[in-house]
Amino acid sequence: MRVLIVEDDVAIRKGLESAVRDLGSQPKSVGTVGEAGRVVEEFDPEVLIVDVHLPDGDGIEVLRAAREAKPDRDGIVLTGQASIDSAVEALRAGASDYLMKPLRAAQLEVVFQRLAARRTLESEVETLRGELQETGKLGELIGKSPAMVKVFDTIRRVARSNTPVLITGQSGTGKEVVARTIHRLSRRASGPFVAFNCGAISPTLIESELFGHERGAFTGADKRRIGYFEEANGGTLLLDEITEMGAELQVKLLRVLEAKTVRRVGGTQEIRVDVRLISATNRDPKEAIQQGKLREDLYYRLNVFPIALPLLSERPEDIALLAEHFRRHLEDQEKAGVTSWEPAALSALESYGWPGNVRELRNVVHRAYVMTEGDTIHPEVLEELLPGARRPRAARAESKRRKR
Amino acid sequence: MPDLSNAAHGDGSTELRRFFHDLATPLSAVSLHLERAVRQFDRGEDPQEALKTAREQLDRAFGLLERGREELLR
Repeated sequence: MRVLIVEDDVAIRKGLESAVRDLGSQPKSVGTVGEAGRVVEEFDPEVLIVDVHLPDGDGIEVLRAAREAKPDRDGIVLTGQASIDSAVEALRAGASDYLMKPLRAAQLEVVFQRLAARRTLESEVETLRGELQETGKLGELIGKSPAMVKVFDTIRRVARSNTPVLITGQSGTGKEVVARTIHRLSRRASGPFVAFNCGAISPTLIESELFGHERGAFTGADKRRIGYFEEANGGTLLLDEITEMGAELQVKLLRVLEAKTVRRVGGTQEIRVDVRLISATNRDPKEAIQQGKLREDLYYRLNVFPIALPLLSERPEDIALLAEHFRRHLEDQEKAGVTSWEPAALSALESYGWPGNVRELRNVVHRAYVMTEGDTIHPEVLEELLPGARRPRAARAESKRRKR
Repeated sequence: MPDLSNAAHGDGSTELRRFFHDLATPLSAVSLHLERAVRQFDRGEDPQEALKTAREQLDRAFGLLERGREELLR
């Protein structure tokens, strides 16, 4: 980060310059308001450290002017005479921190770490927003169809909040990718993202996996283990296939959601957890309630923000986009020189039904990539990979003509 | 250096605050340069210059403190 120090005392200025440099940033320092005005333009600082009292004016005004020109600049105000008035004035000018003299480099380190984390997060959010607008991408999600644009819009809205999300969609539609994208766009992005599939593990083990266990809690529990809730503390926990969780455990989960605490199996202590919960299911939740697979009270607790993912066959206009994205990704990794599609091959993909959704498409593209000799994926390769798929006669003739 | 003679009679809070402000400046420099010296030492660099500055600023702080004390006792 480029950091401008505005401080009239030469010894403090040199000390701050050294501290800023040792924190991995690029410092520049001046001693007056007049010099600061000129250097802000030339140096274009991302952060300003300003002393309130300067020989020719007020350091807070330097910060205010710099932020008016570029609002994403951060400001740290230094003062030897703290007062409520000057603290309020500093905040109004956009200062993110207000430090009292005598200063310590360690204080600056804490402030810089916080600023750096926030800047990284904001830059990632901006990148993702840019991707969405320019390329039909949001993180790892791809699509320009109206159905996916609606999903992207919902993700961006929901990411800003902390509310529980329930993602529904058939197998392979990208539920985990959506959950991961919500996490990446949220304020929790620097925290952990933990995904747990309730259907992949024996129901008797789910409780200790989720909530952890104390040593000796059951046979084989030879040491304490923290559960996924504690592991996801400060971040996001995805509970996939939520309807596969037993009714008794659903009651416990409801209690955790309400109390925001967990108790390890065999433990007596309630442990506070700060976790954003996202759940997912490939069933219709209403049907799951009727079949007794999902408690109604838990459903209402989880379903504060629902996101329903479309089938791939419901968004055929995204198929070529996705196929090309997967091919490019493979080419980046494997560098086999497969650089394009024959248009008839993309048509074949678009006319297939995709019962396994995006996951199936990704697998088919991978196999086609591996089986392709030369630089272009031809429809003949796909015929072997897509059960029951036949290309239109015109497409086959076009393919033959191109090969000749 | 602020006039601290009023502070001794209980009506010089502004002067006293100015005095603390003036004192905080060299003390900040002492702290920053001592920490700089520690970091330099940890990296195997010569901390002499940083220590020298810290010492000068400490002298400056003591000078201010002494003058402030004299003002208060006047």
